[in-house]
Order: sequence, then C-alpha cells, then structure tokens
Amino acid sequence: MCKAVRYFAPLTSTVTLTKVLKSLVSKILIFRLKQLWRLFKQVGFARIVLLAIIIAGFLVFELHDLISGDYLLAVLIYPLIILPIHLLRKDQGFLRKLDCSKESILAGEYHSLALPYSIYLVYFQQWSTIIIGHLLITIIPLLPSIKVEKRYRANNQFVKWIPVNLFEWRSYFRQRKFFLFICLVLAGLFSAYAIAIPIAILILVASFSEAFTHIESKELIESYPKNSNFLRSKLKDHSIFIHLLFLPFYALFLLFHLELWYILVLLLVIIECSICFCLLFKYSWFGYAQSEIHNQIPFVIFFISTVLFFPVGIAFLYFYWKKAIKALPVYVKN
Amino acid sequence: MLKIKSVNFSYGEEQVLDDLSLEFKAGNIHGVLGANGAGKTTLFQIIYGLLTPSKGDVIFSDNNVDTSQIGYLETEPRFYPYMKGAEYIDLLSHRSPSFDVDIWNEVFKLPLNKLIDTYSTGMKKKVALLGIISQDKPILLLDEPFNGLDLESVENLNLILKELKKENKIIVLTSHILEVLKINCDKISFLYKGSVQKTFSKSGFQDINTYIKSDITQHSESVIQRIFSQ
Repeated sequence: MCKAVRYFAPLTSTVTLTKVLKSLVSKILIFRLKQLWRLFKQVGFARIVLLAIIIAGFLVFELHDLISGDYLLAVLIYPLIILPIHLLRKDQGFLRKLDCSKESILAGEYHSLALPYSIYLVYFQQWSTIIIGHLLITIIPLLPSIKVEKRYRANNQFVKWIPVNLFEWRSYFRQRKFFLFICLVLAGLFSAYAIAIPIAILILVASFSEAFTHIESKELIESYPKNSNFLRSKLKDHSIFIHLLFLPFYALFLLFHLELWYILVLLLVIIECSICFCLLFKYSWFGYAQSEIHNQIPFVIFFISTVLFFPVGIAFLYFYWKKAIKALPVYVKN
Repeated sequence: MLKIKSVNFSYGEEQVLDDLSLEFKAGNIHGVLGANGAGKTTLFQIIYGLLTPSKGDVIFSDNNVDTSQIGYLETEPRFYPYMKGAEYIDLLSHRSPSFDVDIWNEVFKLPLNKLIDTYSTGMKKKVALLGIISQDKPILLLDEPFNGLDLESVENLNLILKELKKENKIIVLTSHILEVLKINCDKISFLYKGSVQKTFSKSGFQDINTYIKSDITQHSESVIQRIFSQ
C-alpha cells in the first residue's frame, strides 16, 4: 500500500514540466537512450536498418490483421511485451540505490517502451486499447520481479564426451541442458511426423548463437591444438561435432521420410552456415576490450537471410571470414 | 633483453604513452609503478600485441617481439563461462606435456573440478597465473598479480617469482602495493602521465616513498584538506 502511495504521489502533486524534465526519471530515460545508441553502434547500423525493415514488414502485413479482429489480443500485447522485461530485469538493485521511487522509474521506462506500439494504434484510432494498455503498464512496476540466480553446476556427466577444445559446446550444454534435452527428445518421439525433426533442429540451431557470445582469451586461441590453421580447424571441428550430435536425427528422418531427402540437404546447409557464421562473427570481434559480444540480432538477420535468400547468407559468411582473419592475431595463421 | 623503444600511444586525443623507453633484462624482475591511468596496462597491452603503438618498437632478442612468446596475466583475468579450472589448464598446457598440474595445485590449492565462475577473485587470479606458468614462455607480464590473493598465496607467489627468475625469464610486474614490488623486483620504474619519470635500482628503493610523497601526493593532500575543512 505504502509502495503504491509513493508511486502515485508525483501524479497527484503539482509538478511543473521543467521539474519533471529535470527529474531522475528523465535522466534515466536519457541514459537508456544512450545505452540503446551504444548497442546500435555495437550491433551495426546496417544490421539495425535490416532488422527495422523486417519488423516494419511484420507490422504492416501481419500485426494489423492479427489485432484488428481481436480486441483482447491488441490490449494484451502491452503486458505481454512489458511483463517479461519487468519480471526478468537485473538492474533492480541499482535502481534501489537511486534517490527516487524505483516504481516511477520503471513506469517511465515501460510507458516509453510501449509508445511506438501506441503510436501504431493511434494510426488505426484504437483509443480504448491504448488507454487500457497504458493502465495495465502502470500496474506492472508494482509487481515483484523474479530473482534469477545463475546456478553453476559442473558435474554434468554428459558433457565429458565433448572434447575439451570445443569448450563453447561444453559451456552451452552446461547452461542449456534441459532445453536441449526437451528439444531432442520431442524430435525423437515425433520423428514419424515429417515436420518434427526439421523444426527441432531449426529451433536448436537458432539458439546456437548463445554458445558463441563470449570470446576466449588470446592464450586459449594460442593453445588450440591445430592453430597453424586456426580458423579452418575451428570451423571443421565444430561442424563435425554438430553433425555427429544430429546424426541420429538425420538417420531417423531418412528412415521415416526418405522421399523428403532434399529437406535434409537444406537443413545440413543451414546448420553448416549457421555454425560458420557464429564462429566467424565471434572472431571478427576479437580484441582485448571485447569479451562478450551481442550476436543475437546479427544472427537472426543472418538466419532469416540464409533461409529466405540463400546467397545473402553466403555473402555474410565471406564478409565475416575476411573480418575474422583481420582481427585474429597475426601468428594464428589462417 | 626486451626493449621498449620510444613508444607512443593515444586513445583518440588522449596521449596515454609518450615516448616511453624501457629495458627489461632476462633473469630480472622489473616492477612498474604508477597511479591509475598512468599507462601501465596500456604498456603491457602494447608489449603483448593487443594494441599497436602509433610510434616506437618492442624488440626482443634484436627482433620485433613475437607475442606468442609472452605470457600475460591481466588485472582481471577473463575466462570462458561455464568452464572448469581443470579444462582451462588442460587447454593452456596443451603444448607443455611435462607440466604437472597436480603438483602445482598442491601450492595453489584450487578446486579445479569446479566451474571458474564459482571461484573467488583470488582463485581466478591463481588459475590464470597457473595457466600462464603452464605455458612456460620466456617473457611474463604480470599486471597486479597480488590483487585479491590471501596472505599464504602472496608468500607462495613471492617464492614462485624467485624460481622463475632463476629460470632466466623476463618478468615485468605491476602492483599498487609498494612493499610487494620492493621484495620481488630488481628495478622499479615509476610511470607518470605516460612516460617513465624515474627508474630505481635495488639500492635506491628506500627513496621511492619520499619521491612519490613529494611529487605526487602533495597536490591531493592539499585538496583533501580543503574538502574536509569546508
């Protein structure tokens, strides 16, 4: 109750516009914009434009059809986007330290985030949707967030069969063992349906970028068993590993759907390209200051480009191959 | 002999190293002392080949230094997530088959079968150091190796440094703890605003405190007094 009173207090008091602009909430919002700008710079403006085109395409061709016939869905899009962000955000400790109501800051951020969608709805004159949506957003900051504590458990017996030099996969398997297990088991169980294995593999491949978000230290690159042709060795070792992992599923697919062999060929190409992209993108960022990279957006763009317009994907690979060779240490002969 | 010859480096407009020259002898431990931002880490990154100087050279045995001959311990070592200590050492010692991790771990006492993510700051430092030692390289750049170590580990590291020195390695180390440098080093260079202000040999170590006090902290002292007198 006390929390709610504190939260709504600024709305009931007479606060001038200048005061609001000078407030901590506006400072935080400006800070968030700066963060977004830095993220854009890191991801690359060309990729952001490409992503914006994909999103705009979705908005124009799909979203309107989706929401125009369903009022409830149009309203629910507000909490469906904001609620996961609120529940999983990790900066609540930092916000608590600030000399301002944490809920006001959160509300400021969430309303700003929802603004593009509201503007989109203004175009279709869905006024009641906008009002109810923003009312729902106003309540969200009062909800407690979920404390996600990373659990570090090393003793997963199944990672022992992954060679130690494929540490990216060891790391990924330790983090995502349940997700992998469920995907693979479901794919196996429903392998009689032609769609099951390709979908499971595509979902897994789409998640693989997560295994390559960290760049190892120079010492680890130097110590790679066959570093006389470092990049080629890496690509080869990772490809072999991933195809061995999927081998039972390739076999199951051929067993049940031999007539659809060309789907499997397409899948193999997508898997191969995706692994190459993840590795090449990672090493293209090699440098001291960079230990973690934001590869999700570039990977999504690459993945969609490869699936829909294959040659674009190949162009991406060539570009990052060149970039990775340039970024890696000279003595790692490529 | 490792020679740094008239090295210049800047981050944009900001000149970080300004015509810096230094020499490090084999079988010697050379300390580099300086305030935060004096250019110590930048110097190490240039020697290690992570940064390219705008001017100057790094020469080792009359040739441009081959950075694969250098072991570099960063101030805050970084590791691949969800990797065990044993895996890290296994990968790094790949080319040194004679390296016996178990004997070394009797000194370091690390839980090598646990993920590095669960290690404390000191443990992370130790596993990174163990990795560098396992590679047996002729040049060692140790940036703040004593940070976060407990008393026992500090003593162990002092002993290890002595032994590495006997193996004729070139060891360059930085620390903000002057006493640590005095115990281990044969020479200590004082970096100030990107250049070497003065290099002290062992016989002149007793003058370092007075030198720093007179040149550097006088200004801060008067400012602090002004702040608290308000």
